[in-house]
Amino acid sequence: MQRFELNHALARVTQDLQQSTVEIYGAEQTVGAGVIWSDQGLIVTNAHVLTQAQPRVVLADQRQFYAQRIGLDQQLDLAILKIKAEGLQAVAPAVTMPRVGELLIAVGHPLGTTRAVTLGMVHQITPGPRWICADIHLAPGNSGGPLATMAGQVVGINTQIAAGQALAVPVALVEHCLARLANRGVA
Amino acid sequence: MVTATSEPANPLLALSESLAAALARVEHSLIAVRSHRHQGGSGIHWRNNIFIAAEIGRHPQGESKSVVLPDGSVDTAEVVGRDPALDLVVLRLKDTDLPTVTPSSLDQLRVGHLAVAAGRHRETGLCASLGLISNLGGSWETLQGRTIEAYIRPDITYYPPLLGGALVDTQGAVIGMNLIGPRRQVVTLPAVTLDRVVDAILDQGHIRRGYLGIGLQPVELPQTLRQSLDLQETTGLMVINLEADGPAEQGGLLIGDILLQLDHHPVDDLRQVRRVLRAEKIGQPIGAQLIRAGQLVAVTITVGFQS
Repeated sequence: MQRFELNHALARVTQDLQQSTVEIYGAEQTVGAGVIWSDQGLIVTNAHVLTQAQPRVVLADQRQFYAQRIGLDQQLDLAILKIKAEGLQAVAPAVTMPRVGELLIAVGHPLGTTRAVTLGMVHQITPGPRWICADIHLAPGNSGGPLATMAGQVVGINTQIAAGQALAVPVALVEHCLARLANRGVA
Repeated sequence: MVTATSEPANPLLALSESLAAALARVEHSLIAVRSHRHQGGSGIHWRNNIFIAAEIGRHPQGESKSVVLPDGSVDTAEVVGRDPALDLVVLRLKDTDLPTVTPSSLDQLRVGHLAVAAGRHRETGLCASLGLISNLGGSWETLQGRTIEAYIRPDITYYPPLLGGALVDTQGAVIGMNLIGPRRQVVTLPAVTLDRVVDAILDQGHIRRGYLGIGLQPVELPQTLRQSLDLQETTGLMVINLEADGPAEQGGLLIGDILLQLDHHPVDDLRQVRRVLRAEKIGQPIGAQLIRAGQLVAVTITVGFQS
């Protein structure tokens, strides 16, 4: 049947993204999100999500780890964590910027609801490109989570809510941050 | 390109691509309209060199507006005319080679259809928001008594640059213009209404409204008066202000008169008065029934106009 194809595809993209989204707990059990960037245990999140030196990370399969913070960029509001875990499902980063009008989905833990998903589209791209703005409704707990295309490729890290818009740091800036770490021989 | 593949095409990706493509069809027809004190909105290239945009700010004035074109260049558009009741302004840009939009037919539109609100931000350029057609209805009237051919409400999140922008269907045709309606919800003025406004403004330079030159205040009619005059009405509109030499004064209205009917329509609030004063009534005599000194009086007023 063709009829349920759309929902089927949506469920598949959602499930894949949920597998790669972690919970990151702060000092007072505040929760933020993170994205599994490599199956070697690299996790990308927002700097403002981290309130502890060794934050507790919970995977989709409920396994828990205490992570090492190996990189921090306050300006980009990005942080890189490392956990010692196996069987991780890393995301596929997008190689190009999305166009205005492309559909996007975000996974995160808005107000503590874990791995909740929302759908919207690219609203605008600010010069730089510094931000991908989406017409998606985010809430505290979405920070650090993935923003992805309908092909399941991650285009950004959900970071801020400004004037009702969801602002995500583009993948290119995340890669830039990771490359700097690699140069220092950390990651 | 045809390739044999075991993996079925992702319909979601196809939908995403078609939405972005629909948006690309209107991208070069949208301009940003700059405003000194406000964030600014968008305008749509409606006909050859003629743009229609949302008027922003309380007291619009000026003969020109600063606009940002799709290539990012700043230009000055001439104000052809305004429609204050709908907060619209019609602009002319000389010698643009920008494409005009394709209006869509209302007959095809259904509740539940996907639609994209599109606009242009003065700095970041094209912007968009996704929604559904959440409500569709027949013609309706604004608070100023203007008739809109269809009620279209998309469930789109409002961002300032989308004001005055286009509601685009999945084919890239323009359903109408997005404005802020009652309770700060987005309403879409259908393409037919925009066509009518543009026609009127190009023809006359403004939208004419019928005008009486009176100030009115709703008042409750005392029970004794209602009994003595055998009236059904419980409320009338008392004349509290009369413009010198205005249509109402020339028709013989006096301060203190209580208006009950206008052009055979009962009037117990100002909206009903505005409804009577449609553009077609300009220059026409209309009957007014009123109470003066406890008696029913009929007068005739010739409707004037105000732009």
